[in-house]
Amino acid sequence: MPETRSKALNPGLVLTHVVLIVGAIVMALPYVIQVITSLKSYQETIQVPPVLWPAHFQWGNYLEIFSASFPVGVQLMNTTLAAAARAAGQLLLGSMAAYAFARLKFRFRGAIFAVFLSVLMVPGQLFLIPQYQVIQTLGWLDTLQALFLPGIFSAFGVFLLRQYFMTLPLELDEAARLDGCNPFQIYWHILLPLVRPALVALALLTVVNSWNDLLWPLVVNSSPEHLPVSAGLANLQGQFVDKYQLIMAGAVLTTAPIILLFAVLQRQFIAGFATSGLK
Amino acid sequence: MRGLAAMVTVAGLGIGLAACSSTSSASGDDGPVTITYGFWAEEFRPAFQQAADEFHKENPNVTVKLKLTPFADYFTKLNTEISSKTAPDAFWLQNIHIGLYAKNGALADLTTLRKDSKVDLSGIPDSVMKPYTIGGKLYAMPWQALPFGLYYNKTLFKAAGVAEPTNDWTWDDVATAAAKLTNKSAGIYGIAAPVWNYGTFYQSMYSYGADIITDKGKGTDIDSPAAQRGLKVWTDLVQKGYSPSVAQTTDTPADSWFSSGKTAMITSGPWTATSYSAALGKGNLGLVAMPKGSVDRSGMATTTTAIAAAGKHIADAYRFAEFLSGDTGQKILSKSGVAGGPVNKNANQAWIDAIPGVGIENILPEIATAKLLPSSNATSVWEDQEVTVFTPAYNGTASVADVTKQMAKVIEDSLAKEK
Amino acid sequence: MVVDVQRPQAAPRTQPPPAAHRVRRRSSEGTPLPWVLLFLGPMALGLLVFYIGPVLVTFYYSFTEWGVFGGVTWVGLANYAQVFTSPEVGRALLNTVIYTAIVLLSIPVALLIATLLSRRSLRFVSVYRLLFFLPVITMPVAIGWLWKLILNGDFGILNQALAAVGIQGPTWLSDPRTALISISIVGVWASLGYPIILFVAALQGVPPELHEAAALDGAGAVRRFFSVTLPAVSPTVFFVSVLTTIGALQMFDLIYVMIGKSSPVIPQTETVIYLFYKTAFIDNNKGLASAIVFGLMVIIMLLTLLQFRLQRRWVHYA
Repeated sequence: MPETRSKALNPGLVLTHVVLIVGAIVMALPYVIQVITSLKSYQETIQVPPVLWPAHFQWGNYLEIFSASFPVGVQLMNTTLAAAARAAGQLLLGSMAAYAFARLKFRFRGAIFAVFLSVLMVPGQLFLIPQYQVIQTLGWLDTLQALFLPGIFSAFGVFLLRQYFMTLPLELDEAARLDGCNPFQIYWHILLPLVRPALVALALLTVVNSWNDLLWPLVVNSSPEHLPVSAGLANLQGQFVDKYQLIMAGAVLTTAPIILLFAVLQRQFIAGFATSGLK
Repeated sequence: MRGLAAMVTVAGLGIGLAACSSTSSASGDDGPVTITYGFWAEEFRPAFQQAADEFHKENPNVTVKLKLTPFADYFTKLNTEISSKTAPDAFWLQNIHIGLYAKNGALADLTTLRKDSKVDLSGIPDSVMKPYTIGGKLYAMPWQALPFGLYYNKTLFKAAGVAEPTNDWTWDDVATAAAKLTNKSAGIYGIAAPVWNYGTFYQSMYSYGADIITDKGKGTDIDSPAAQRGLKVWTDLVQKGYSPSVAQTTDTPADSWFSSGKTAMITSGPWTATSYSAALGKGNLGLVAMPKGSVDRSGMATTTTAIAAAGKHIADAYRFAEFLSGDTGQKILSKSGVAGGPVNKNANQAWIDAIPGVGIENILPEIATAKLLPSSNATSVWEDQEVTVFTPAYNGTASVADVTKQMAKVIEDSLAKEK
Repeated sequence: MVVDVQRPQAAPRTQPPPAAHRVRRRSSEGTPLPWVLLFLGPMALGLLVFYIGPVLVTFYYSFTEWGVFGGVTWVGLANYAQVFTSPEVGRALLNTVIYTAIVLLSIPVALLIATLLSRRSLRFVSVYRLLFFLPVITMPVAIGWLWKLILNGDFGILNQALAAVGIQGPTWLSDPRTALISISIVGVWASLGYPIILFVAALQGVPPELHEAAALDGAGAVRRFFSVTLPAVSPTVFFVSVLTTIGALQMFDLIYVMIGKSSPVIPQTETVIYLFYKTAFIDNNKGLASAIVFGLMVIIMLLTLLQFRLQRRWVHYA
């Protein structure tokens, strides 16, 4: 029997909306500032006291970004492909490893998991030079695959999905096993669908992480055609002068696809399952 | 797994199995050659591309490919590449880096190439060329000089009834003017005095005769009376209230204070000329030579082209670097008006024409007389501490004598480790 | 088979599960090796080549002095000695710990927001979710921009508001007394995005039957939150707390963007990773930098181990 909610104004509901509205404003503010700043002139960006609203909307900023060294189309493609590859890798390989840690029995399982986790505790900058040398040995400097190769492998997804797997009742596995399923079938047909929201969240987070990745692509690739769009944007930062209005415009442009992705994926967040699937 | 483990170990130990063969040909190659040129500022691309095209006309078998890495990450990437012998054939270095890179074997020795070259570089003053010869070997070719000067806001000067600065001003003149220009109730300060070594206290210290790094990089005189006097110029300005405080110029960059018309003067390099001019409005920006102390000596930075020691086309890369310092190259670069001044005086007029109406000609003579900003083989190690050590003197919580003594110790300790 | 609604009282599981549940398995020892290799192999291989190998190599480097461009000389424990006696490292560590402690406050806030967002049939929920997601994709430069706008000593919004009531606010980001706290608040704000998303996903997985049963037992909304919702999502809360701790201890971007390299308050705000970056890439002392990072790694490992040990007390797996 579903909980009844009175049709009249529920104080709990009002409070909820108030808190969420205030929170949302606080959260969204920098993005809004980003958009507003992208439409200012350079002078307006460094003016003090700060200019809150540009005198004229400088739509030309968006055109100015497309300069010779910044093949935006190709770079956006690189960014997208790299992000997709990383997400696919994380989802597939990460969920498989997570399943192993959550459901399979083997010696040193705890120790191996600890080793996986330890990778998360080391700051990324540390890996810069050794990873560069691995890519160099493979002969893959300045290529598309260099962009996403190290990023496919991460303990983040493994840890995340392990937690979600461990919330699922063992009876699910046992019932399936009684039906003659092997571990892969249990993983693929039974457990994986049940953690769909987590998979969507992981995909989203991986894409976002990959999107903003800057230092690694800059170091491992050089040709503008092989760089992601974050690198192209970074070139807008001069040695002495940062053209903030252009940087912001670039940021707005390149985050638009992610916002779109998020809007699309939102539906996946909606609960689509129930443990009544046990019956 | 064995083979893979071996590969990981070898790759990890950086033995550099990379296919790069280490045979570097010192003489010119036959057949078409492409050399890569690393740089860090997008706004220079058109000028350098033009230079590269012009060079190609004179040397049809050599093509120059420009490679941009943004400044913030430039050295991280460069060092990684040098370690793996994949650095560009030629690349930008500031003068403060030359010692470090040369000492660690990253740069090619250009002495013979320069001696044998027929290109006329007589337009470059000796004082500009000298710093790049270390231990008798030439390691880099300068292409940009960055002399510093005193910018001022003409409107604010007129409003306060103060005479505009001239090329003969001393630091005392600056202090006097700053006092008259400061108008607290209107939120106007006479000058912006951030804790910024290049533009402020290095300049004044040099102008009182201190060298900061002495004895061929083995000692320091930053605690000498001359240097103290130089630092006191700036700490006084802040303490007397003629400049925003250190916290204020950290929160809001000094450039913003000046561009927004909140300070009447600021010392800076030529790269801000265009943006200051645009901010202050036509005809409102003035620029004169750096004020003098007891001697007429200011500080200057330069940007150079260095050649990778592990490169495969050293001679051709050198020829391009040389071209950039020669008459033709220098004129192309100066005409763009993008930032710095020419190292070659034959391009002086091109630079003056490129940035008209500001007073660029006033800082030009400094190129021949200025002293390069101080550096050692590990400059950043001690230089980065200056802000922390000197700030108390600006805030009045420590004396100039104490902080300079403290800084001298920092520098000495650091130099000692450089061996 | 009905799911036992009173799950929260069951003994929380750590690995491996108690023998009782293994009775019905056919193989009593463990999963056959080929299956383990299939599931674990690919990720393990990649991690080994790209991460674990480099970590081991860097561990080796921490006992050496690096030439600027390669070429190492063994120095034994000299780097570590420097790490343990350097006041700068100690200060950076203190800053990092304070920052982390404050940032952990983001977890309950995120959980609260996620719970509100998961109210059934909430209007505009997609819009809210999008807005809460925006900080995650906003460029650090823009984040620094906004907060500098708010916290600027002379022209910032916060100080102008304070001035209206007669208080003169400090230069938040450039005053040694307030800089770290200011950055930490921004850190809390910036750390909310990911956990909110993960909690929303986790909350989707709480079976409505649990809520209904508890409501039938007379539990109000708050009571249900603590006895039904929280235990059900505790694995995710655990994940978030471990990762937020690790992430906060490794903070770098925020300082880089908001404080910059030439601020007088760097000693009061620099974190261990910022110090690492400076030592490795600006001072070119990669041997010492490796030692710094390994020191931090040990601390992170100990803290994580502690959290894993403590999880028996409050994390409920199925």
